[in-house]
Amino acid sequence: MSETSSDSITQVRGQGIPWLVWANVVISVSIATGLYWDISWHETIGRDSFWTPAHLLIQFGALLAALGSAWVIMQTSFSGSPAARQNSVRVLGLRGPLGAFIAAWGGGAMLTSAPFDNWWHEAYGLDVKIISPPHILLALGMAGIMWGGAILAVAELNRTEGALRRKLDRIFLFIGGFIILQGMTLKLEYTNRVLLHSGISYLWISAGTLLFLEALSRSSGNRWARTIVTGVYSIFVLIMMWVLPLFPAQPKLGPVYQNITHMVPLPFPILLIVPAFVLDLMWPIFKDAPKWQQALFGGVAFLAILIAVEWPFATFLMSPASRNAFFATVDFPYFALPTSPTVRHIFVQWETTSGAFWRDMGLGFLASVVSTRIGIVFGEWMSRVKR
Amino acid sequence: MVKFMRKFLLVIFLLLPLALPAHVGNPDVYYDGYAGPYHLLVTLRPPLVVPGVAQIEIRSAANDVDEIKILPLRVIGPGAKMAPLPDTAQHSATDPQLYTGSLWIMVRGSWKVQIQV
Repeated sequence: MSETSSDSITQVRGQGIPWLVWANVVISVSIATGLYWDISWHETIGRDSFWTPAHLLIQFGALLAALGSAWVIMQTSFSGSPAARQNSVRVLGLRGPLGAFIAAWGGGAMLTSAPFDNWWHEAYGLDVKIISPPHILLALGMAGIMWGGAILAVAELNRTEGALRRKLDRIFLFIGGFIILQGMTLKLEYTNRVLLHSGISYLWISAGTLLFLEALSRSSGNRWARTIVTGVYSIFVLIMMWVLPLFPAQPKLGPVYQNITHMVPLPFPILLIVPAFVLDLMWPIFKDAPKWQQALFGGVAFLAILIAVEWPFATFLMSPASRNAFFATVDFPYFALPTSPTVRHIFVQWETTSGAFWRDMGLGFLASVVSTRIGIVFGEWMSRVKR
Repeated sequence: MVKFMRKFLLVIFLLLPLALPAHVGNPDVYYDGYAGPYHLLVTLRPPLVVPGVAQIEIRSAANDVDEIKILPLRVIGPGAKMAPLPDTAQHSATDPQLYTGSLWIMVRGSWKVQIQV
């Protein structure tokens, strides 16, 4: 083991990657798969319980995060080497890597949300909306786990050099892809193809996405960080979109408005990878500019390029040419009425006046610039995290 | 006379109750009928709120019933044409002729329950 990597508390022998970092890769994939599977489950089967495979996959991730992080914290606190203790932070008298504390909190929050959700249903009945206090706790827990994993990886990254650093960088960006995915999953309601000719869609996409993207790319330092992170998001969404319909399924909840024979896939990924690639390509040009100029250029360019590619692509997704399994525009949730815009392949004009449209678009550009600026600050902080 | 009739009709019209749709505290629904040759007594307790879960109790007069399946369906509209998978009613451990189950009612409107023996 190299001298630099020996500072780590728990490592896979000979490779220098802490096992908790690897565990966070498994956790991210497990939670994201469970989440996508669960949304598809709700669109296909409708009815669920705590014991559905999708829920179990999500909670497996939560359990692994909570127990794995707790183990590392206990080990560092009570039998950690001086080096391990030096590379840790102190929270409530315990010692451990900062990422482990954040992930442990996230795991605990997710596990707590399950009985909380049960109690919520018993007290207030079945869900009519996705946003409820137990679901918010669940989403915060997921974000905690994924950011905990990313901060754990980046702390290791900042302490290493050479081949090990490159390897940690790939892991860090892989986890980063799932952070983007979680953010985009929460926005699914506003990124449906029927809204992709409305300003609201681009406003929602802008808010936060560039914060994550810039923070991840700046702390990674990888020349193609933005492309890799959005690539992970795109590939994961495509795989889930193509694999889910291979499984036969029927609704267990009515009223049923669509003939469902297999799991309903989620929509085609938003083409974030295109503006992300262009920003990576242009990075050498604007990397030395003042931070606000970077934010202005990065934020405006990202959203402008996204609109330039997503707008015509959305038109294509509405056309008969896209109605096949590859683009997944022929499968609808069981509850989609035959008269709904999605089923009729027509756009919804969210904003009823052109003034409202340009207001939302303007807010979208503003959100992009502000998100990028915060992302730069967050990324610079992350690139200094060593514990 | 015409004036009087007009006034009379106006009073009658004003006295007529207006049609106000309201559905508060629906009482339980009881059904006594046959599913093929099987005589069934059905009690249905609608949910207090929608979406919610209705409870159903089915008592078979005969004791040679193997399985009962239950399925809630919309009475009219596009939702009445396609059905979700039916649920198998739970056989009571203490009463061999009693079956119970839950029916998920997700939207407001008129519903029916299909019972398959």
